[in-house]
Parts: sequence; C-alpha cells; structure tokens
Amino acid sequence: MAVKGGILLAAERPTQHALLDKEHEYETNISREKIIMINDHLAVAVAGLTSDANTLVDFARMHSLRHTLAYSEPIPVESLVNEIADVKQGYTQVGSLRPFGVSFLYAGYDPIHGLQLYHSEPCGRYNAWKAYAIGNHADNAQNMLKAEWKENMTPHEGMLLAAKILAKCDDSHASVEKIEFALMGKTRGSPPHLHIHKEEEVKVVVDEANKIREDEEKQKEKEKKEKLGGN
Amino acid sequence: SYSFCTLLGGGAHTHQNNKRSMSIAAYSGGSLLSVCGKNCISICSDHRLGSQSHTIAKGCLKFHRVGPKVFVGLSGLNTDNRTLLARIQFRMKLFKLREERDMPVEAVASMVSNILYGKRFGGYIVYPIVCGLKENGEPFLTSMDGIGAHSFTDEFASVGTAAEALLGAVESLYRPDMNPDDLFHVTAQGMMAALDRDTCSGWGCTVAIMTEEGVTTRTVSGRND
Repeated sequence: MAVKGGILLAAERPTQHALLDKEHEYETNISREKIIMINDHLAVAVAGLTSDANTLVDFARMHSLRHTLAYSEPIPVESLVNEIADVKQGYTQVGSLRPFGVSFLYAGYDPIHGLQLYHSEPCGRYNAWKAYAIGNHADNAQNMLKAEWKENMTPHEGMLLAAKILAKCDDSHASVEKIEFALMGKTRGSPPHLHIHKEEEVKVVVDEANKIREDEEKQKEKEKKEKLGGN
Repeated sequence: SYSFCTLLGGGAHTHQNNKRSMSIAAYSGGSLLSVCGKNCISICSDHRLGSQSHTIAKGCLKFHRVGPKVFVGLSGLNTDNRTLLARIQFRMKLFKLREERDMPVEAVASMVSNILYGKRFGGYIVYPIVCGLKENGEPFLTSMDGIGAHSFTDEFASVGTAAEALLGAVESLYRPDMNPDDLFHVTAQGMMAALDRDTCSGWGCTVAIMTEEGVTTRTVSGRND
C-alpha cells in the first residue's frame, strides 16, 4: 500500500518447517522469502510458485540493468512492469508452455511518476494501485483495505494495518516468524531506498498489532456483557 | 595529407591528420598508477583527455570506485573505457543482486579479464588496473593487457602512455608496508615525475587512498601541458 513517503510491502509466509535452516537473510537488505529487490529503486512481493517467481525476478533484474546500460537512467517502474506482464502473456499464447503461476506486487520509484504500486497476474494483466492484496485470501484482504486504507498514513500505521489484515485473513495472531515488511522509501534529496525490516523491527509492529487486537476484543466482550446485563 | 571534421563538445574543429599517426592505444592519452601499502592501497590517474595531439579535456579521471572496496582504473581508448566501465558496473550490480553480497576485488579482476578475453579478436583497447582491499584487509592489485592477461603484484603497477616512466619513478621511491601518508607521497611524486616525461598524459593528477575506514581523494597540480 502507498503510505507517506513510500510504498509499503507486507507479506506473510507459510508456517516454517521446524527443520528449516535459518538463512542469513538480513545481511544485505536484498531479499527475504517473499519480498525481493529488483534494483535500487524497485522491489517486488511474490505470491505463487516460488520457482516461477525466481525466473521472472532474474529476468526483471537483467532487464532493468540492460535499460540502465543503454540509457544511463534507472528503469521507469511502469516500463518494467509492462515488460514482465508481456513475458507472462507470451506464455499464455505462444508455444506449448504453461503460464507462470506468480502474481507480483511491484513497489518502485522513478522521477517521472514518483512512488508507484503495481500488480501483475499470471495472465499478464497489470494495474496501478493505491493499495492491493495478492495471494491467499486476497479478496478478503482487498475488502479490508478498501474499508480501512487512508491516504497519507505513516509507514508505522500502514504496517499495523497490514499486520491486522494478514492476521485476520489467516484467522490467527500475527507472528514474527511469518510476517515480512519492506518499505520502498523516497525522501526529498536522497535516492530511493528499499528497507527490508529486520526481525526486531517486525516484532515491535507485530506485538503492537496483537495488543491492539486484544484490546479490541476485550472491548467487544465488555460491550456484549453490558448489552446482556442491560437486557 | 588530408583533413576531416570532428565534432567535439558542440563545436566543429578541422583536424589535420598527423604525418606520423599515433598508436590507437595512445589516442586518448592518460596513465594510471597503483601502489600497495600496509592494509591500504593507492590509485592515481592523470587528468588529460586528448585526440592525438589535441587536448580535449583536463579533468578526465580514469579510475572509478565500482564497489566499497574496489577500484577499477581504465586507460587506453576513452570510448572503450566508458563502454567497458558500463559493462563492469552492470555485471557487478547483477552479482550483488543475485549473490546478496558485494563483489570481492579478486572476483572483479577475474571478471574484467574474462570480459576482455571474450573479445579476443578485435576487442577493447583498454588497459585496466583492478585494485582494492581483500576481505582480510590486505591490498590486492593487478594490471592487465588489452586481452585480459593479468599479473598480480604486491608492490605497484602502472598502465597507460606513461607506464614505463611511472615504473621507473616508483621503483626508486617504493618500499614495502607503507602507511597511508607515505603511500600518498610515493604515489603522487612518482606520478608527477612521470607525467612530465609523457606528452599524452598530464594536467595534474588525482590520488585516492583506500583503507579499511574509507577512501581519501587528493588532487595534485602540475604542469598544465
């Protein structure tokens, strides 16, 4: 979703197997399981088949670097989204190939249109959004976004909203092991910068979101009792 | 002899073809010197950019900090230098995105060598120096010829039109395990001495010293001819 001064990407990964070795994920701010940097000014969040996504991410990286080689400028966001969407479409019409089973959320900045959020689907369709959800329970999430997303939320408010939505869609409490946050931020005078949140930062937000939810539920319980008591 | 027009920076100049044509490697002019110190390394380039005998620019730096701990210095034909630099930056960025780590200086040297050899027959007229600090903090230095033959050294290396003069000048000044200040003096004095011996390099020099903490860059003025 678009927040003040950036585009916020939030993702929930499936429950980790106990035996999975923890990678050194946080060292370079380039990728985690579902949020991946394409270039300094562009990042994607992935929903769908990871292996298909990896191919497209590598293609996107090559494409954006080739653009910079030719034109000495960072690739405009829509230009890249368009190219990936065209590749996806090609796999639906040409040859005996199966489509890529991936949806992307692209968060990027370029000097032409500023901060932008796009999504693309396996069929090759793409749109620009203020806030969008892809993946499991996307419809639920999208409805909640429609109701609760506002212009000019701060990144922190955005993260709380995202954590709340992710938790509700999964019918569980938000947990640090499963949630990823990244902010593609742009402030005046400095280049765009992707910040993939470290575990400590995620924990702060997740704890706060869980506390807010508990408080709300307690409040609801209280109101229920009062109503019954009144009757 | 015949004359032809070349468009340079917006103006048109008629250029009389020299009776004795310069080698293509010396067309743009320029030289580079790199010296190893104790856990530090220096790279120095002159400032001249020319079109045979005609000096076009006097602020043309020939080394580039392509990574936090890596310098690539490119001498030779200016257009090939720029093209090769763009390719190097492409490959380094791709490495960083895929591997999620900075490209170490040894890998950069190997990559540059391979790119040059990729055009073994009819290729880049570039004579690079790749230098920097290794993971353990020690200096790394290698120079190459136009088809990528690299030779590692733990002392000093020079490329460009003043290469031989630079080797001679630094040979007498160099001693092993210098600290950053001494390294600067040796590098700058070596370069200044050699520049006056070469028509195709000059207009002062810039020295960059890389240590664990970071990079300091200093400019030295000299004879502007």
